[in-house]
Amino acid sequence: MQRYIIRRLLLAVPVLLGVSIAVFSMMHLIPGDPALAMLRGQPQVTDADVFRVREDLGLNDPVPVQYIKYLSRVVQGDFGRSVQTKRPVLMDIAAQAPSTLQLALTAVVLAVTLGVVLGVVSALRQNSWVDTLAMLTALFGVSMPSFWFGLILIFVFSLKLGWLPATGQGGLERLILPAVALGMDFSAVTARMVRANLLEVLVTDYVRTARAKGVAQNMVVIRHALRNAMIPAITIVGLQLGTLLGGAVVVETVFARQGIGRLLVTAIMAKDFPVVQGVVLLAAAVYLLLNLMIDLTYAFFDPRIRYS
Amino acid sequence: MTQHDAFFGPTSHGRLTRRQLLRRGAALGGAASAVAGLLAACSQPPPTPPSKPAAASATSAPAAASATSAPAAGGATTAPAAVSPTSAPAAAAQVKDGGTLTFGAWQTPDTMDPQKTGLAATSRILVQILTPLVWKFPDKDDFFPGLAERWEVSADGKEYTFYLRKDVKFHNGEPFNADSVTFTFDRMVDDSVKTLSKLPEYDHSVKIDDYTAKIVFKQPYGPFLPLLSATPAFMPIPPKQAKDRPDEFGLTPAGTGPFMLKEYVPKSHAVLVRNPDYKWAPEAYFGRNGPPSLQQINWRIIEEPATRVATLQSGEIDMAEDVAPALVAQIESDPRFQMIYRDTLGCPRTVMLNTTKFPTDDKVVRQAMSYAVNKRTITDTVLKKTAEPRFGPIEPLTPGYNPEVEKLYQFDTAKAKQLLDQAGWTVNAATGIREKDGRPLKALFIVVANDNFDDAAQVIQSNFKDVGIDLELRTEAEPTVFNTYNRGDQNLANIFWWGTDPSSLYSLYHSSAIASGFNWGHYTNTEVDKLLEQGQQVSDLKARVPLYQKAQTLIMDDAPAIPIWGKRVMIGAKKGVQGVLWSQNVYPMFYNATLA
Repeated sequence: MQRYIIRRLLLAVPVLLGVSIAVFSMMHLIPGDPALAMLRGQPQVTDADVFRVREDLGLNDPVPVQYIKYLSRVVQGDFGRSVQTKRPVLMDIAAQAPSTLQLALTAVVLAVTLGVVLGVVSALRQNSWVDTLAMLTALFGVSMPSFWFGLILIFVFSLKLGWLPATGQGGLERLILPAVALGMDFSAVTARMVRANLLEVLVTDYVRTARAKGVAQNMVVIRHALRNAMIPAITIVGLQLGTLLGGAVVVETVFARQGIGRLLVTAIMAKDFPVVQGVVLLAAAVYLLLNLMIDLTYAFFDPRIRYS
Repeated sequence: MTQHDAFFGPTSHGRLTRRQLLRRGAALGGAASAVAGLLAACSQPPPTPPSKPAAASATSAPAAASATSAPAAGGATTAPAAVSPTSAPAAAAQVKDGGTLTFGAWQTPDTMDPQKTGLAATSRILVQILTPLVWKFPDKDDFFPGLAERWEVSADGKEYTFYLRKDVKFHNGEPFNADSVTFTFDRMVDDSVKTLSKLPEYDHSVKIDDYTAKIVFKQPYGPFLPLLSATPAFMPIPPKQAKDRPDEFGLTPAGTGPFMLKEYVPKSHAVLVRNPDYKWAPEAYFGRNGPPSLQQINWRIIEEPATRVATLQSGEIDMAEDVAPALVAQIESDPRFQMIYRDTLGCPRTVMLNTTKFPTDDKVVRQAMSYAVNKRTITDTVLKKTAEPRFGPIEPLTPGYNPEVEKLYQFDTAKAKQLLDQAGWTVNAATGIREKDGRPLKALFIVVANDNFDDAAQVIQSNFKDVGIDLELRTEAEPTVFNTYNRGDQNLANIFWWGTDPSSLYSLYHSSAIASGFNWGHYTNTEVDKLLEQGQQVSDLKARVPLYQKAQTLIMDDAPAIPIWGKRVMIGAKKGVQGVLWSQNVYPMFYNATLA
C-alpha cells in the first residue's frame, strides 16, 4: 500500500508541472494585461504610465522568461502577489478557501445523503410512485442550471417567505440555500447511480442466498447489497467533486459568498495572473489528492482490491 | 457501469414495458405542468409604475440632481422627492446614535492602500476614512479647508504651501503633521513602493515646520487643488503604519476621516465605525462639525445585480448600488424605497471613432455617423429614461464644460445622408449600403463585453443602416479588448470615464495616450494637444476654462467621438435613508447620513 501511495504522489509532480505550463501559457498568450484596467480612474493616463505599470508587474519580459522566473519562485513557496490586492497569493487563497470548503463539504454531505436515500428507496420500491417521484426529482436536479436555481431559491425562501437570508456567510442559515443549489446536480446523479447499481445487485445470487439464510431485508441491503453498489458510485463522487468547484463559482457569485470560485473568476477577468496560477495549481493538487483518497477507499469497500 | 447506463437505467436496456413508459410519461407531463403553474403563480409581472412619479424623477432629475441638492448650509433648494435626499437636519444637528447603515456594493475593492488601488469600489470606502488637505464639492466653485486650514500658491504655480491643522490624529493614534504630508506625496515617487497613483509633474515636498508643508512641482499643474479631494492617493496617510506594517496598511489603513475602517474581509464586507474624535469637518459645507451621525456602516459586497436588489427589497441592506435600468421600476413603484439618481463628472458614455482606419479616417464619414445616431431611442427605450443624451466630450457637471456643444450633431438622418452624398458615397440599390470607388461603407464596432452597451450598439447599427452604413458588431471582454483597441482593429469603440476635472480630456484625446492608453480614437490634433497641455499648467480654474472650452469645440468638429448618454449613479435605498451627500466623483458621503 505504501509503495502505491508514494508512486501516485510522485506521478502527481509531472501532472502539476503540465498544469502550470498550460495555465501560464493560456493566460499570457491571450492578449491583454491588467495595466490599462488598473490605471482607469487615475487623473491622467499616458502611454508612459502604462509602460511603467507593465514594467512593475514584470510583463515586459518574454513569456518563457516570465515562466522560468515564476517557477523558480514557486518551488521556494512564493506564489507571488495578487495584482489586484497586492497581498501574497497564498494569503488571499487561504482567506477564501475555508468558505468554499465549508460550502463544498455541506453540499457533498447533503447531496450524498439525499442521493443515497433516494437511490435506496427507489430501488427497494422499484416502479412504485415513490420511485417515479424520486427519479423525476433527480431529472429536475440535473436539468436546472445552478445559477437559475440559486436565484429561485433566493426568490422563494428569502424574498417571499423570508425564512432564510440570501447572502453572506457565517451561521448555518446562510449555508443552507447555497449548499442546496450547489449539491442539486450532485445528489441527482448519485441517486440514479445508487438506484441502478442497487437494482443490479439485488437480483444477484449472493443476495438471494442471504435472504434464504433468513437475514432481515434491512441487513441484506445494508451489509451486502449496498456495499457492492457503492463502488461505482464512489467513482462518480470523485468525478463530481471536480465539477463541484465549477458550480461553486456560480453559487458563490449568486449568493455573494466568499470563496475560491469567485476569487478565480474575478482574477481571470482582471488578468490577475499570480492569483489564477496559484488557484489552478492548488486546485489541481487538491483534486489529485482527493482522487488518490477515493481510490484508496475502494480497498475498504471491496476486500478483493489490493494495491501494491 | 458507465454514467450513461446508470443515468438512463432500465430504459436503455429495453426493460421498460409499454405500460410503464406511458405511466412515467404521464407523470412527467403532469409534474411539468404543475411546475409551470407554480412558476407562473410565483412570478408576478412587475407592477406598472404610476406614470407621473417615474416620469418626474427621470426627466427632471438631470436638471435638479446636478447641482441643487446643496446641504443645509448653502442656499438649499428642495430637489424633487424621488431624487437625492438633501440633508434634512437643521444647522445645529445633534449627534445621536444614528444606528448602522448597510450598503450593498457592486464590486469588491482590490487593495485598501490608497496609492495602489485602481478601483472606484475601493475609493468609495477610502473617502469615508480619509480627509483631503483641501475640499472641493461639485456644486460649489470655492475650496473648503480640510486638513489644511489655509494654503498659498506661488506666482509661478509650481509651489503649494499648506498650513495644517494642529488638532488632528490618525485613527491608530499617530499624529497628523507636516511629516505625514511629505511622506504621503514622496511615497508616490518611491521606487521601492511601486505605487499605481502618480501626481503628474511632482518634484518633491518640503517640511517647513511641524505644521507647514510645501509641495513643489516641476511644471505648474493646474488640476492639483481640485484633485486633492477627488483622489484618495493624495489624502494624507500615517507614515509608521504604511512603512512598518504595509500588509496591515493594505487591509485596514488608518486615516483621519469621520469613519474608521475596523474590518475588511475581501469579497465579503467591510465594517466602518464612527470616529469619535473627528472634529475637522468642512463646517461651511456640511453645516456642522463633530463625529458623524451614523454609528456604523456595514459595507457588503454583493456582485450579482439581481441578488443586490433582492436583498434591498427583503430588508437585508439599506442601500443598493448600481441598480440596473430594468430593475428601477420595481424600486420606484415600491413606497418603502427611493431611487437616487446623480449625474456624474468626467466623460459621458461615448463611442470613439478610429481616425486612422478606413472608413472612419474620413472626417465627413465621422460627422455623418454623428448625425445618424438617435440618442433619444437609446436613453428612452434601451435605458428606460434613466439617462439623458450628451453632445460633448465631457459631462456637463465637469468644470469647464462648454454648453455650445449641445447644438452640435442633433439627430438628423437627412443631414447624414446629405453629407455622405456630397462626399461621393452613393447607395448601392441592391444592398442598401453606400459605396465609393468600389469600396462599401462598412465599419466594425468592437463592443466591450458586459458593459451594458450591447443594446445601444444595436440601435446604432440600425441607425447606421438607415443612412447606408454597414456596421458589424463584435464583442470582446476587458482587459483583452483594451489591447485590441490600442492596436486599432476597430472603427468604433465604447468608453466612459469617471473624472472630476476637465483634464480627463487628456487621457482620452491627447496624442500621448494612443499607443497603450485610452485614446482609442487614435486621435491626433496638435492644437488640441497644446490646449490640453496648457490647461494643465495654469493653476487658476477660471483661466483654465476657456482653454478647455476651445478644446471641446475643436474635438467635436473633428468628430473622433460620438457622445451618447450621461452616465449616472443609480442607487436604490430605503425611504428612511437621508442626508447622503455626494463628492466630485459622485461617491456617497455618509457624514450627515441618518436612518429614519
